[in-house]
Amino acid sequence: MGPFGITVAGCVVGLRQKRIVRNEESRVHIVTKILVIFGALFSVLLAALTIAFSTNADRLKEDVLNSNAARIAWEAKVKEVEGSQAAVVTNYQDGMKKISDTKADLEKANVSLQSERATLLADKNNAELSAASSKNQFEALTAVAKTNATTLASLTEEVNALRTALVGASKRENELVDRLNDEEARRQVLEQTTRALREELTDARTALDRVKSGVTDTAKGEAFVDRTGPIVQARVKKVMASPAGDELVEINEGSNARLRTNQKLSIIRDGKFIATLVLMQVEAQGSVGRVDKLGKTVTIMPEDMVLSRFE
Amino acid sequence: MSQLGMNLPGGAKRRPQMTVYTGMLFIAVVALAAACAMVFLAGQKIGPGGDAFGSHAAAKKSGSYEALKLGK
Repeated sequence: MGPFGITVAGCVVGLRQKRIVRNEESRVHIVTKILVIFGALFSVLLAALTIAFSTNADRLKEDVLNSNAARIAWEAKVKEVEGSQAAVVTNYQDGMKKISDTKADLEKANVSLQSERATLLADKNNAELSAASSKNQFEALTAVAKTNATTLASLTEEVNALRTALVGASKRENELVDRLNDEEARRQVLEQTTRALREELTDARTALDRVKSGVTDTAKGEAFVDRTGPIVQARVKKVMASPAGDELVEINEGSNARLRTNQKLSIIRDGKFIATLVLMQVEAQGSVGRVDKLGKTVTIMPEDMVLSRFE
Repeated sequence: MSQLGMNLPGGAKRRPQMTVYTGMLFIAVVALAAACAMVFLAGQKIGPGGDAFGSHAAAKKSGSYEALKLGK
């Protein structure tokens, strides 16, 4: 039995007492009346309190449920924030690492730049020293140049004097060359004269030998074979045709080998006689003659041997 | 009780007397008082601002959550 039941019980009891009092000339004690009033009051009060309590309990239950839902939502949000925060922390750590790496690279670059700066300062000092030494060298060279200019002037004067002397020497040289040419010409004339005299002497000796051996003058008349003196051996240099149709041959020996005009020679090849050659023109070291093939069909070729006689 | 009622000389009126129902009423009133006191105390604990007769506002269907103020 709750408060409501107690209230109902109290009312029923009160009504019964009232009925008893009405039925039996209303003999209810004042305490009973007071207790009934208080009971009614307390009943109403209890009802109000109970209603309020029930309402608040219901509201509290709702509040608890809402707070749980809110807490769950907040926890989810916290997790989400933590996740994003973790990502932010990760990004921050990556950024810090990149910054650290960049810092290390910059420090390395700084160290290298410092060393390069020290090197450049040393190079600068060396350049300044070399510039100072170059300046000193320039001053020294300037003094040397002045000295050289003075020397050059004196040398120029000397060269001029030497040129003048050279001109005079050239003139004298030209005079001497002219004189030398004149002497050379005279010498050649004398040489030719000597050669002519030698040839005449040789001709005289040959004529004497021929006279002794019974041979007549060779420059005129018939061709002859010189059987005096050593055998002359020559080679055919060139074969050519004369305007008259005869075959002419040039050999490599002449008057130096005691050959004479109209002298008859024999052309030999491989030890066999081919044709005869009668000299028409004799020079000192070469001769030209007419080939007589004696009716044979032969061909005279360069390098064929030519003999003055067989024996 | 009327059969057992005392005939008082001189025709004096009978005073009302306390019966067992009075005692039961007394117990009921005491119980009601105790219940009121207990409910009042509990209501103070959960009532808004310690008011046992007050009631909290209904929770909003949407929006931010606001905690209830319990007790004094």
